[in-house]
Amino acid sequence: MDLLYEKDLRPFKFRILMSSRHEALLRALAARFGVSVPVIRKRMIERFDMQLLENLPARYEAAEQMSEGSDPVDKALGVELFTRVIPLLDPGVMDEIRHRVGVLIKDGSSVEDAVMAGHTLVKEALFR
Amino acid sequence: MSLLQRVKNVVRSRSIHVCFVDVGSCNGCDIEVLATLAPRYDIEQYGIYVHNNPREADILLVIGAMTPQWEDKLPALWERIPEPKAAIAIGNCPISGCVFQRRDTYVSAPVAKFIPVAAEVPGCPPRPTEILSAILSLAPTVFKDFEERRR
Amino acid sequence: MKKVVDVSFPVGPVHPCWKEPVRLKCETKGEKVLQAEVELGYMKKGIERIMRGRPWQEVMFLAERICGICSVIHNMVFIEGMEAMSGIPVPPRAAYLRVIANELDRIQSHLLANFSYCYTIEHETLGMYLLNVREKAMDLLERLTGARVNKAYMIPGGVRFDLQAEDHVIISSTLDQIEPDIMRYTRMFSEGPLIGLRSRGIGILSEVHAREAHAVGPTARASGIRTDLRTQHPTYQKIGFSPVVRTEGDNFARVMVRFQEVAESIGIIRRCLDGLPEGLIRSGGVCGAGTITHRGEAPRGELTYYLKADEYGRIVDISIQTPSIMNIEASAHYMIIGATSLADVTSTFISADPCIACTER
Repeated sequence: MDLLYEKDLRPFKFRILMSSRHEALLRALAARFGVSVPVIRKRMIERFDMQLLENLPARYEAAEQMSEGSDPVDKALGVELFTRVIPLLDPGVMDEIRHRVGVLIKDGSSVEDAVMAGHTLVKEALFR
Repeated sequence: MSLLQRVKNVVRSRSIHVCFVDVGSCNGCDIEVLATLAPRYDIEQYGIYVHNNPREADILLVIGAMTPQWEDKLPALWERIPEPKAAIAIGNCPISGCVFQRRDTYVSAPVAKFIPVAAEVPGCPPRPTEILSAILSLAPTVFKDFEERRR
Repeated sequence: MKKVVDVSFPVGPVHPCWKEPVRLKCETKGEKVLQAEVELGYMKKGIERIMRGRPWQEVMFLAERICGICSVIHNMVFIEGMEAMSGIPVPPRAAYLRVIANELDRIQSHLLANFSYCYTIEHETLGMYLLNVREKAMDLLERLTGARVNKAYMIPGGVRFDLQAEDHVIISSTLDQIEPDIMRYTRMFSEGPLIGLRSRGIGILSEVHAREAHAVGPTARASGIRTDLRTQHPTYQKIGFSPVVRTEGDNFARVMVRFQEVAESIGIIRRCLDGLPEGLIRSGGVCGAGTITHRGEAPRGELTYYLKADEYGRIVDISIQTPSIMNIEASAHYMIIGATSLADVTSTFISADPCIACTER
């Protein structure tokens, strides 16, 4: 059966991500994880629908205002950011990472080291 | 002229179903088409019904400058409209691309490249009365004696 | 997006309820919507790309053609951004005339949005009443600016046409005519039992979700978020007004916020006409280089222009964040979820006043 309306949306999604504000957001995320922009862009195109892609910069800005006053470890790991604002990760995966970081801190490693370890885990989960 | 044709002529002159499709405009022409529904212009007193169903439409109002998503879908939509049918281009966009037909654009105007356009109403946007009079003046030339002329 | 169930219910792109093409794919279980996905690309014209490298005289007209329903505010935010960047003063009379044009535009936009909602819930009578009142607002706009839809009324350093004494009388007498009508239709909407059944408690957007999706405008104000950029605009501060806020967060609240804002706008226009200063409407000036982020309150909410121009007034870089981007996202990803009937999907989507031309540009 020829489905007229079911077509490959990747070129259209790519066009959304080409505006200068999306570019800035992608660069910020790429710098955060030390990967290249196309890797993040590909991940987003695979995972998000078009309306969410359009709304990403606004969501990111709103999250930056909202996250003031939240737990510093959560903020450093981007718990809220990557599960609710830019939902690149499933909440279950993120909870597990957060839990492991909590265990590391409880076992006596410094907060910075634990956050660094958590950050690596987030990066692994994102770009498997 | 056969009796059947005469009956068809009478019926078709007072019952025109319109479908409008936006293929990438600024929305200005859309709202002017919607404004024709308002009691001030009252499109329904002429027997014209605006509802977006291509399968029971007689006239297709094309609005907009043709974005890439529509390039395969507009011809398919045109094929679903039963005969007799006609397309009217509303506004400057389907005619020339208006302000959007510049370097770096995504649109590929005119719409006449994709479907046969019977009439054009220029304007950015045209007034509701102009849209109304375009439909009313096109309808008899397309629908009158359609079967006999085709034979 | 991940598939939850096999049954996908697509709505659009050509749909009787929708003014513009957009495709909504709802994953349903029975009649309950589990998740929804929006498919765009039907209106992507690449306006921001066309704008780059062009002088402001051209970008001004392109900015207006981002959205035909709220063209005045696109014009206003762009021109005010250019003025703020280059330090061009605006005469007080022109500033007041801008507010009048903007509020008339808000009235017609809100009435059109409420018409669409009434039409979607199949209350055509009220819809037609609203569309008829809207024509009167359109007449006033035409009298003031000379055009119905794309007006290009504002230019750096002022406005293009002055308000004659005769227009002053016509605007105030027409407002006197439409105000009781709008009051009556508001009462019809709020007291209609069948409208209540289709609207109350349906498509609820909680305040948390509204903040997460960064909802703006009437959609946010109906969910209890007190946000209205007009309170930060110098001319509006002089005139004085208070934003309309409701707390229900359902379809009913969103439509009612718009009705109440129409009444509020009529009050603002009256106060503007009463206190209209005498003087010039154009002061002149030269658009220069700079970078600015300028915001304004469109009928649908916060509109942001990120502008960068060179010393000849050419736009080097531009990025536009329209209110519909956030509101459609809130609508598709939060309001529609949990809708217990597929008939509510279209009405919930329309209640957020989606404007696809704005969203995709």
